[in-house]
Amino acid sequence: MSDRTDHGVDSQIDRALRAIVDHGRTVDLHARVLSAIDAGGRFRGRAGHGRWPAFLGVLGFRRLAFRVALAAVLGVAVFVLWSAVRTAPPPLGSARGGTTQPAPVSPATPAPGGSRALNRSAAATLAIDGREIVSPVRTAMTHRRRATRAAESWNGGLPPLEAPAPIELEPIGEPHMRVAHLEVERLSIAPLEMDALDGSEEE
Amino acid sequence: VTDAELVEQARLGDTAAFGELVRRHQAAAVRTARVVCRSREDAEDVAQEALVSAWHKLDGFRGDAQFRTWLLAITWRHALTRRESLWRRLRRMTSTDDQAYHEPVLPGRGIDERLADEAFVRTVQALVRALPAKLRDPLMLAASGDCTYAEMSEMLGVPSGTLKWRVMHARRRLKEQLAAQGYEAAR
Repeated sequence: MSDRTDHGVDSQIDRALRAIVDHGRTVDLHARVLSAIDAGGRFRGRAGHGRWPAFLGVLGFRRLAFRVALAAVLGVAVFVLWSAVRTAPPPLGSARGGTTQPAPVSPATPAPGGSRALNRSAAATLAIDGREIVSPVRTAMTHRRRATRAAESWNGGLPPLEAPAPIELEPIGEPHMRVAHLEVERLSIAPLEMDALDGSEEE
Repeated sequence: VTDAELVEQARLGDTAAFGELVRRHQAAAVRTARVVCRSREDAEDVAQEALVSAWHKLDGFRGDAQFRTWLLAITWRHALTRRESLWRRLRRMTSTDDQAYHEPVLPGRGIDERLADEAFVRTVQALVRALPAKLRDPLMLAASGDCTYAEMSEMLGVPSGTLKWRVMHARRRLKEQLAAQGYEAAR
């Protein structure tokens, strides 16, 4: 009796297992396989079920460790970009209406008694209303491009300015004190435009 | 025409000969993939990949084993790769596309019996899924009826004696769990 019951359960399990693996269902992969072969072996799955391109498999992208490493690298890259964007200086356009003044000369600058021509990025170290607008160390292309774009929007149809003259530093007695004479005509235009918009007289 | 002859023709670039091989063995390939894949569509994709891969690897087929065994081994590797892929794991965690059984086990029976059969199959499916892979894979491969134990041994890299024991053990566990759910008494 028990053997018969066991046999019955066994046969039911067999039937269920065969049903699970879809035993007896018709399959027709012929057309798909041959078209994939004709197409050079590229995978042609069902519509909407895209697969990784083949070269990613060659690169090891199908391996879990590689994907985790790639995700980590991408995460670090995104974090670096995000932090760079956060620490970027405000655009020049935000300084409209302010007054320009020379930036305080860094104590680390030149040896006493001599004058020194600063490069263009250093010359852009100005402060508007006490706020630094372009840092000398931020010479990345994105910042330069942003500054150039803002300056172009300020200048409108004005003729292009000449290249800024080198800055000369003059000693004024104490070895570490310098006065910087800056000629930054471009940055002083902004307040004039604001005045014109307000209807006040241009100076 | 034997498989070996078709393989020789396919090696020379005859896609029609390979097409005939596809016709002969595609069902077994899909069933083998179905052991691992949770949906029929996934299994068909895996089988297709394996068949295309077999076409490209035909030169490496030494003829020691039958073409069918060689193809099923390729299919098994592809299916395992898919099961272990991160994307598939995430999909398994989030999706509900787990294909259930849709066809009656014994067509022509009464509706009550057919529903009971379907419920039984779903129960078995859930229990099989709960088995560890080392028990589940041999059990399902043996149930598919496409491989001998020697072929399964080659595919899984496990001695055939061990595989037989695992299949027996898996069936015993299934029966115990079915009995615990009252199936033995009810049916």
